Amino acid sequence: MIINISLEVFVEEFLTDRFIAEGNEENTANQLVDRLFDGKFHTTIRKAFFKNMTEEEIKIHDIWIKFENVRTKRKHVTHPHTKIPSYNETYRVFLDVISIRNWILTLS
Amino acid sequence: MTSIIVSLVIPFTFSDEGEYRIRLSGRTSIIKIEHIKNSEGLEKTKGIRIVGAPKIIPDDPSGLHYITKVEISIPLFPDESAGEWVLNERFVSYVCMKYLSRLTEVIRFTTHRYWIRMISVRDIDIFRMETEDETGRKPSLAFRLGFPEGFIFQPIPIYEQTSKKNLIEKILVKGNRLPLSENLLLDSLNYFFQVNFLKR
Repeated sequence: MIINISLEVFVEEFLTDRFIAEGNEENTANQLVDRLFDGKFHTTIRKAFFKNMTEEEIKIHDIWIKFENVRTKRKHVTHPHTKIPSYNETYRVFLDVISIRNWILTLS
Repeated sequence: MTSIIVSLVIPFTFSDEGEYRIRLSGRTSIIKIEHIKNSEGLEKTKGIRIVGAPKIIPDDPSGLHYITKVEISIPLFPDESAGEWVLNERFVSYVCMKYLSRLTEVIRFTTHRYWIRMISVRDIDIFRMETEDETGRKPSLAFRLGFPEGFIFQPIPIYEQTSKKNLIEKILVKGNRLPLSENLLLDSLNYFFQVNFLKR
């Protein structure tokens, strides 16, 4: 769970920094980020980093697949009656989150 | 019947001294716990001399005065090879962790000592492994110092503190705020490697 929250906070921090780098005041940058985060995290990621791609392109995108895996495992943890992720599955989530973070950093 | 006898150190205490029989996955192992006085550093720091074996009430969960010496006797199933066990130290550490975690869990449950630390593979320092059968004990491996897990964590690079000296000083002097996302990432890794499955 904490690893998922860390990714959400990372995206928020990244987008805030990017809006500030584009010349916005900190308050404006925060408002722009709030607008992007208005809804599910899935939608935020899509709007922030995949908006120029078609649905088909997104589905086969390596980072999107990792993001989907991270999201699925989070759902398993928050709904433990469905499935408890194994050690290896959880470790995979760490690797995926690191890959997603590294990929986002290449966009700055 | 052949058994693997593993001697190890845990750098804190988590149970009373004594012998415990623990059944896990159809195998009953015998765990011997002994507390070893470890207060030399404290004595040097405070400039005092602690005589005898002071009883820490209710216990010493941080290992300030005592560490724990553990001997675990793990019986092997007929189809298991002692050679394979002793060659796979990481696996042996994992099995020991499972037994000690079970012990810790049960002690915590029964005593309500909610502060007892869960034991992770990182806490286990194996210093001797032997095999035992009807002919007696035989040493298996001479041992090194240090923790087998070390600090090799693949997800992120780990740095020597000296290589980050300038950055540390800069952050401390300027009072910079650290990114929350980094703190959360490091927290989750720490929980993961301590096998805290609810928080990672």
